[in-house]
Amino acid sequence: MKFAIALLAGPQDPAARSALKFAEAVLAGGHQISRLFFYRDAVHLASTLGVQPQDECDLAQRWRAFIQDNQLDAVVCIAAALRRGVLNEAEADRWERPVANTGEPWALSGLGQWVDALQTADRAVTFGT
Amino acid sequence: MLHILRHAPQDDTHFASSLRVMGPHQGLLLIEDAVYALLPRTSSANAMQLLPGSVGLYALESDVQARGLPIDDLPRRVMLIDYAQMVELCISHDKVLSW
Amino acid sequence: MVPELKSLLVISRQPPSALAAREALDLALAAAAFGVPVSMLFMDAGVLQLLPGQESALIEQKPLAANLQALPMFGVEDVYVCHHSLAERGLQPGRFLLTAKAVDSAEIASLLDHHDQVVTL
Repeated sequence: MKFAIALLAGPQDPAARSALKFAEAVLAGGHQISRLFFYRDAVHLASTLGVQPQDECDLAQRWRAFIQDNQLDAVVCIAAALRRGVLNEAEADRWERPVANTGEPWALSGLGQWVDALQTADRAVTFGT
Repeated sequence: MLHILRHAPQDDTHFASSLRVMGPHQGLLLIEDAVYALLPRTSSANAMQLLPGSVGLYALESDVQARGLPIDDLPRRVMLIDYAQMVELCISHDKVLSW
Repeated sequence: MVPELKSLLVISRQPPSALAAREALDLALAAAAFGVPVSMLFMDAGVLQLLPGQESALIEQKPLAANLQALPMFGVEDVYVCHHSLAERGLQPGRFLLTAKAVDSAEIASLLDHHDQVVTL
């Protein structure tokens, strides 16, 4: 079964962990994740600049590893990301910002990607509402 | 339809809203702070007991335990589940609504 | 095979002062722009988005009115507002920024049933 999973809350919200645990369970159960979509404050998970104390869970790192290890399609809403200072190289160039803080495996794209995922998945589950 | 609640009923209106529109044979899953709805002797715990028997009630066990809720004093019809079972619930219901 | 078109109901429950309210409308508009049949239900604090006379410029926010009023132009014809949420806030169905049909809890339950996807923002 194909799942589309959206996350709306940032790394400091329990939803960021719930969504990850759920996504891991989807794959462990033999199902597919057709797309992950990060909207609103969840775009902060795509930033590589966060530094967590060593004895605390680094959710941005865990999400990145999960997406890379399973070669998942992970889309970050570009409008939400720009507003919150999450930029890849191309956007940092375009808006003349001194640094880019996101990149592979995350893709910056539009809300249409979520709409498309909602249309084509067997189940769509949203976290962090 | 599976309703997933994540906010505590004590500081959010969505718990009440979801109960108002809950149909028979639907499911209600409490995750994150919504598990505080199970605190014994609260109006939310009572309201859940009063749902039709055909409504399935579930809570994520790790979220319940992490918040120190009394496992032995929860409404009996609430089934404690893990993430694998949450995935199965999403499949056995025709759609999922997160509040 | 062309996938069957699925309809989408977006429930909005963010007050108009929140960025999230704009981001909820953006999803509805994006879906409509992609030709997906979209309905909107305003409930809980979301009903406050519909109040006329919001001088949002006074708190340096772009008005939501233009986005709300764009909904019908994008083909979002079915707009509902939760009667209970209005009553809780002392409001009556009537002169809103957007024509919305007031619905009770049973009607909302049926709306949830009849849409393929429901997203709460």
